[in-house]
Amino acid sequence: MTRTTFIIFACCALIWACVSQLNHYLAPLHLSVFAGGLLVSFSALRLGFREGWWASFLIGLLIDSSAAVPFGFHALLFAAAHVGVFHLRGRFPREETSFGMVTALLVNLILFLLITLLLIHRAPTPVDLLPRLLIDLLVSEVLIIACIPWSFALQERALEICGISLRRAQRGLL
Amino acid sequence: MAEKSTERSGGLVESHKGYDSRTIFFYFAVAALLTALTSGLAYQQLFKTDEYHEKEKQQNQRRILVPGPRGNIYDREGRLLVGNRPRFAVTLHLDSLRKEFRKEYIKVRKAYRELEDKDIPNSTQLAQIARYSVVQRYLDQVNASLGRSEKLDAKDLNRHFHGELLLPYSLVDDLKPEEYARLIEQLPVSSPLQVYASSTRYYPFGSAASHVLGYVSANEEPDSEETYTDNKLATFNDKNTFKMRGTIGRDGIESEYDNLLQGETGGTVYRVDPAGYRAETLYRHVPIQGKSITTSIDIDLQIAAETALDKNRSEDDTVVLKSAAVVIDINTGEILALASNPDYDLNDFAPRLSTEKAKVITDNEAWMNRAISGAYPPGSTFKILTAVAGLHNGWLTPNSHFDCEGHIVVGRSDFPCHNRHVHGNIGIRDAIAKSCNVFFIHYGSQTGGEALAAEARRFHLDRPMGIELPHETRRMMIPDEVWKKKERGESWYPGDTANMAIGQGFVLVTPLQMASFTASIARGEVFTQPTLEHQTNRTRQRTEPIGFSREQAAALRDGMEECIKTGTGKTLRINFKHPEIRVAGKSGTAQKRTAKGTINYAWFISYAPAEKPEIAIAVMVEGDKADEEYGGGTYAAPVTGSILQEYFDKKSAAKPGTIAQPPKPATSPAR
Amino acid sequence: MLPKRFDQAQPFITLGIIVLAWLIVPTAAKRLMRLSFFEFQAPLDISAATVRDVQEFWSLRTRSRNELIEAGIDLAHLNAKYETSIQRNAALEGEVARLQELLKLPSYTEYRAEPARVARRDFNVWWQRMVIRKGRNYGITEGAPVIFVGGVVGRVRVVHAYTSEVELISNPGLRMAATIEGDTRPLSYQGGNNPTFGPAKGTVEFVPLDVTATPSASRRLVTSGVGGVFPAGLTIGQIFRVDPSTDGLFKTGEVRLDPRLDSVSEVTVLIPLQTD
Repeated sequence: MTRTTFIIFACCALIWACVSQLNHYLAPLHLSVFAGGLLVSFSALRLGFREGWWASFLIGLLIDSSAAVPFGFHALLFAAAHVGVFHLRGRFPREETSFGMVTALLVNLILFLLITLLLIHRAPTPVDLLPRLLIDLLVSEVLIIACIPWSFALQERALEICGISLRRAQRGLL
Repeated sequence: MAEKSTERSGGLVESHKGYDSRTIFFYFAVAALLTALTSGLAYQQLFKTDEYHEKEKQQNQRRILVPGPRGNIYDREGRLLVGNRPRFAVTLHLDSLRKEFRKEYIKVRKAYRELEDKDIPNSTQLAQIARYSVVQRYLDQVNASLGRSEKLDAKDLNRHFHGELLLPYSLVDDLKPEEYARLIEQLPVSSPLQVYASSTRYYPFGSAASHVLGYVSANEEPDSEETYTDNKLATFNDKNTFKMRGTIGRDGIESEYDNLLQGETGGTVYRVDPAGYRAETLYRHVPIQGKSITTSIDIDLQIAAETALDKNRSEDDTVVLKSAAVVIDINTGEILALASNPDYDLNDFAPRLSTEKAKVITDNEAWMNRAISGAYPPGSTFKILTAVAGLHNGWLTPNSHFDCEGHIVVGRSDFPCHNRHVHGNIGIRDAIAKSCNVFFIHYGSQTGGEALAAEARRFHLDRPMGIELPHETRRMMIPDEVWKKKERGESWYPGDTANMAIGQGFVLVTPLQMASFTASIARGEVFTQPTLEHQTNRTRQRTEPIGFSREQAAALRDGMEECIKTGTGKTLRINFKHPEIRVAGKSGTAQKRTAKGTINYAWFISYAPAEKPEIAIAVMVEGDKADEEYGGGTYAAPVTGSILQEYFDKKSAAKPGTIAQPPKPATSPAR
Repeated sequence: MLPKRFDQAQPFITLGIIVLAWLIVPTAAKRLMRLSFFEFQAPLDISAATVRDVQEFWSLRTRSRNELIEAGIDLAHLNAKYETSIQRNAALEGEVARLQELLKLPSYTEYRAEPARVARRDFNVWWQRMVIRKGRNYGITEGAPVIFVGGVVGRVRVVHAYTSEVELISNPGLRMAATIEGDTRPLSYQGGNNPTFGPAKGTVEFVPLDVTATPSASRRLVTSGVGGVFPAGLTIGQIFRVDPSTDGLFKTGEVRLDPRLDSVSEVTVLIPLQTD
């Protein structure tokens, strides 16, 4: 774990805190947003494998600490998502924010579906959940579209403030 | 290069030349084998697919059958007589504890090894210890919640594990409501411990109509047939089936209508792993409750009849006299009440009858439904049939009179009159009212034994009534010359006819027959088919008319009415406080010689209102002391009075402007 | 140097190894990590809740004096009413205690009421939880019932140093014993699905066959008091529909929970008092 990992983790923790507060306000509407894609995509696209992996894993553990799931549930899912994106990122323009957005949307969708599959047994009548799941997914994806530029910028600027330049690193200057 | 090439070619030619034509047989053999193999494979694939599929299913799938709850039984007014009461148990799914068993096994084995014990149990024993330990831990958890100290039966656990792994293992049965509430609140939703609800029979009115309703017991038959609507549950053999025990009707309506009341079996098909543990659920079908039945019984009348019968007790007031009462709707033949004493509390049978309670029932001789299974001499109530036979055959007219001197000699026998009274010149009306033996022996003898028997047979008194209940006796008896010769090897004597005329001797009838007979007399027909099935718009029964003139019918009715007004049946009015209702009836006291002495049977048959009959009642009370008189007027008529009181009370309450009382079950389902 | 193909698969192999390693990490270590992570993020929730309180304070500051005076008068009226109720309750409690003594009845479990602010609500499809701003520092215990003005909120699931997590009654994983108001037969209540924009619902099982409920004639579902956790008579919700099950033994029903449960900001934790 490097300094980069901790900076990204801190940024993700902040993003997650914001999402949590959003969920707090959305609770009376029985809406809930899931922003897993938002938390994983930057580190998977821009960071080195280990740094990004640890950042994703740690933020997953942070979410797990207050979720009614086995500890490590989100962490392992995020880590797997990181590995998947990292494996494919070389074939795409990974520095583009628009590609980051597409990645975040896809990752969020896949994670959402995976979590649904893994937790569906908890629902007394799973079929009745379908409308809510669809609406939650839709709102989550809209949130990702709205937040991804800010999220990427936040993480990039935070690194730059701490003296870590991803652009230079990617160009092999560091 | 060229040489080399030639050499190689030559080599090839050489090898070709070396070809042996005999090897062709080898090719044929290989081809034949390959063909056989291919055909065999094709045969297995194309024709035996289903068989293999079935075998695979048998190896990998298990079926759990859950019997559907039985249907309810209602009275004619829709009041629940028999329902289902939930029975809660805390159960454990052993097959979901595989990992825990394994962990415990390792722990136990390690502990033994550390002890360096030479007598270390073998792996099977270790597995048993581990299982016991894990399940006891869960039981301790339940004990802690419930404040109990239940212990596990190791043998039972072992048997369940090996024989019924997929069925829930019951740790504590028949939980009290607060215990089940506590467990619901304290056990996590995903715990292997679960509160399981099964059904057991529930009888809101306790012992009321116990003989009619009957009881159920566990279905012990391993290959009893199940009712399925779904083939997915049906295509299994017994080795792969785990069946939760259902119930089967053993008596009364529960037995007679068992097929209808039985619920539809539900169940689940699981795929199991080689060790028999549940791997996945393939199919689930919810059990469905059986059909419900509406009986013709009116529970108010039934309770009234039973309460009245209960008042007939032994001298020391400890034992209820053996007795029976049948109330029948004259027009439809529907049985409104059918009581038999002593009876038993049906709730004692749910979930199972204890040995002690079974012994009490046996000692009390309470198993028998005396209304249909008991055959008794009808005594003077049979005089109505004698009168009918006399009138029908012309030996007796409404104006016939006979001089009663207090006794009559027939053949070599001297028959005293009722209570040795001297009735003097007596007509049919008074003869019925005062139950004059002399009158009926005289006219009965004139009519003749064969004619009396023929008349009784016309009223179906010689055969079972065909009511929808099991164990209806076939011992009823209308004797005649042929029967006596055949069965006893004796001739028919005039004394036999005399005895028959007053309902003594060989004549045996059931209370149900007498109720049906009374209803038939009231309707002026020869047969009333009794039934326990209620139909809202059931039409009036129509059978062969007796064939009476208006005067003949009036004479008979007047005699029976007079019996209530001034005769042996006037005690009926003690309990019947509707003076405006005219009742026709006839008492009877029959004697039967037994080893203990002469036992009396008190009878009373009646119908009301006399002018437009609605219900007919037959009551029989068996005396418990030998050589002591139990008169029909004293013991049976008051019971009839109580039943009539309830019937007409209800009727007046049901008139417009009055409000009927809601049903009052004796017990509420214990939860 | 490793072959190129292995290089490409390395991240996946690493992931696999870590997943396996994670599975064998001792439970105690995981629990410790979970607590650490929770305590790490707890200040975020507390801070956010404090910010909300400040927001509320400033929004109240924008009200005119007249409005505040009117609110003050209303509050005084309410206080007067509550004062009367408190006195009446005290008298009734005395009477109950006297009757218990007279009839030798076991006394009810007594509870200490601990009010707490809601720091965060987390109502997603799979679980409904809230974090309250009191924990071990106020003696809150695991499993303690949590109530609010509308009835039952849920049960304390996890207690942390300064916060506690409350499992809501709308959570499908929460089950409790309940009765219908005026009835004594216990039923089983369980949280159900929570549709978007609709009221939270639960399900009720083991409903006796004689119980009926319709949307227009709903039945109040209350805590049974016999389950050992919740005191009796607290509102859970309204049963608005019951359907007979095919086995004819029971009915199952649907329960509409209090809509205020979704926006509750102040709850009371009932901490059972230890009696010797």
